[in-house]
Amino acid sequence: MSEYITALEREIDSKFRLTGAECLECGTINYPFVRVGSSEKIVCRSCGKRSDFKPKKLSRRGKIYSFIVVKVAPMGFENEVPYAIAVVELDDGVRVIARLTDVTPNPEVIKVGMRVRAVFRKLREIKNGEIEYGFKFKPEEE
Amino acid sequence: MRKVYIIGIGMTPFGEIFDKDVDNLVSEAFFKALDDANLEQKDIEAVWAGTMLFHKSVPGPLVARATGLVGKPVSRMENACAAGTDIVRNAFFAVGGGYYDIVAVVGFEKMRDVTTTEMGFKMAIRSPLYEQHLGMTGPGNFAMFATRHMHEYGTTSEQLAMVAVKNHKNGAKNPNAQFRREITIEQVLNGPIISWPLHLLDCCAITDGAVSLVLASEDVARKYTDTLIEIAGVGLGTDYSLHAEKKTLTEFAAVKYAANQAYRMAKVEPKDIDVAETHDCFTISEIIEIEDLGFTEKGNGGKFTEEGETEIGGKIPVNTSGGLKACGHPIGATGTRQIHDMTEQLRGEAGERQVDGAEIALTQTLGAQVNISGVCILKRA
Repeated sequence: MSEYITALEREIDSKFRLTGAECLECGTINYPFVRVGSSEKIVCRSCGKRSDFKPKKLSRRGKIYSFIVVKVAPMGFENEVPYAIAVVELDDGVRVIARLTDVTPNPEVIKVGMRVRAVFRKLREIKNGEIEYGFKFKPEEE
Repeated sequence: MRKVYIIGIGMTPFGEIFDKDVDNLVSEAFFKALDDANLEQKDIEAVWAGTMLFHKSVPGPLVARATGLVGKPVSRMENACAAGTDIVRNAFFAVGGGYYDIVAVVGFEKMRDVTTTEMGFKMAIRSPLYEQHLGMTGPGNFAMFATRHMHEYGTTSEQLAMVAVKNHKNGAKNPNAQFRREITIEQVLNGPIISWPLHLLDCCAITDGAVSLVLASEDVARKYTDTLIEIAGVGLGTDYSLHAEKKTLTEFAAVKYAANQAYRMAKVEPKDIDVAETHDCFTISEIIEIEDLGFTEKGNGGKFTEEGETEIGGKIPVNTSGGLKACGHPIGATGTRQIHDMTEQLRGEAGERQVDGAEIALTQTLGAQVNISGVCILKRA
């Protein structure tokens, strides 16, 4: 199991509140975002400039852009198979990658274009029984 | 820039090589290349070594020892699956720029000493930090593209399987391939799912192996051989690591960047390429690559494959060696292996797999989170 502290833990607002950074040069919402050192500037994923930004809460709803169902997992995830991972296109156009939940991990059930919404869930147990939380996506109720 | 030529090639057979360690593999490939070039060790001025995973010691000195070149400069390059292309690119700059006359490259990987789940983990921890907790996998990285490509263009699992069938058919005739047997579409489709929509036989294997090349400047090269193969163009492209940041999941942006650099440098177009080795780590990879390299239009990769245009005898034979699918994929060695195999094609030494009259060849790797790609264009001089 990885011993690394993830970047998520350093930008905890983005992890727990799905907060991105809107580039004030070109308007692109960066999620996640790359800060220049510990300054108040980011390197924009779109224009590439060293830009000022403002925090931007992402849409909590969107549709599945693409997905996979993992049947053979890397070490540390073997007990979780099968599981579905999706790239979700949020209603504000930002794409995020996340686990799907509350749905059978089966391509007969999950479809590209399916409406989903973000829910806050347990992601996994890390070392020493510590639990990591974050966002997953579940199908929208009809 | 001076012209740069490949004057020697050598490789170990690829496979599960339990009885040899890294230094044995490196030395075997290197001395084969040296013999092929009719050179002596003292002629080699510098070496570039490509490996992604090797961590037991510093690869530079290990390669120096295994090649008998202790004291000479050996630079290790790591660029995931593009490492084996990138060492050639950098050696090309050193010779082309006029600093050295004769250099060697060696790409290698020893992957079969750990279990598949451990190897999967080694790959998974290289995921960008924002994907580590997801349980993303190597096959998963490419499966994410497959789902979207199928959705937008109607590419089918059968068309994916046809890539595997074609490459195994070629690999069956390659003495260096890990899997020298043919397979059927049914075997691919009836196999277990690894990451939906990819089946077991949509995926390449975990492999040991090493490949070496000798590069030389023109005046030197002419002293040693009459069959000169020119490195006419090289390119290296990058893309976003996160799948959510990539512009689309239907094209490999890194491949397009790398290919555009190489095409421009070599002053050729996709239609000029006679034979190509592309990075079929997964069947979907080859389908998207033949689009992004310009061999067919975007979205048509599945149909182009189904019509047999990438078979030997088709419009543009792809992976005549058997590709990663049949040869196996020792990560740091693969890009160098592709150039080894295309050099054979341009020399007319590819035996049963020979593409008649091949004069211009292209090789292409693509690695990690589908975010790094190397391209090399070779010409028969």
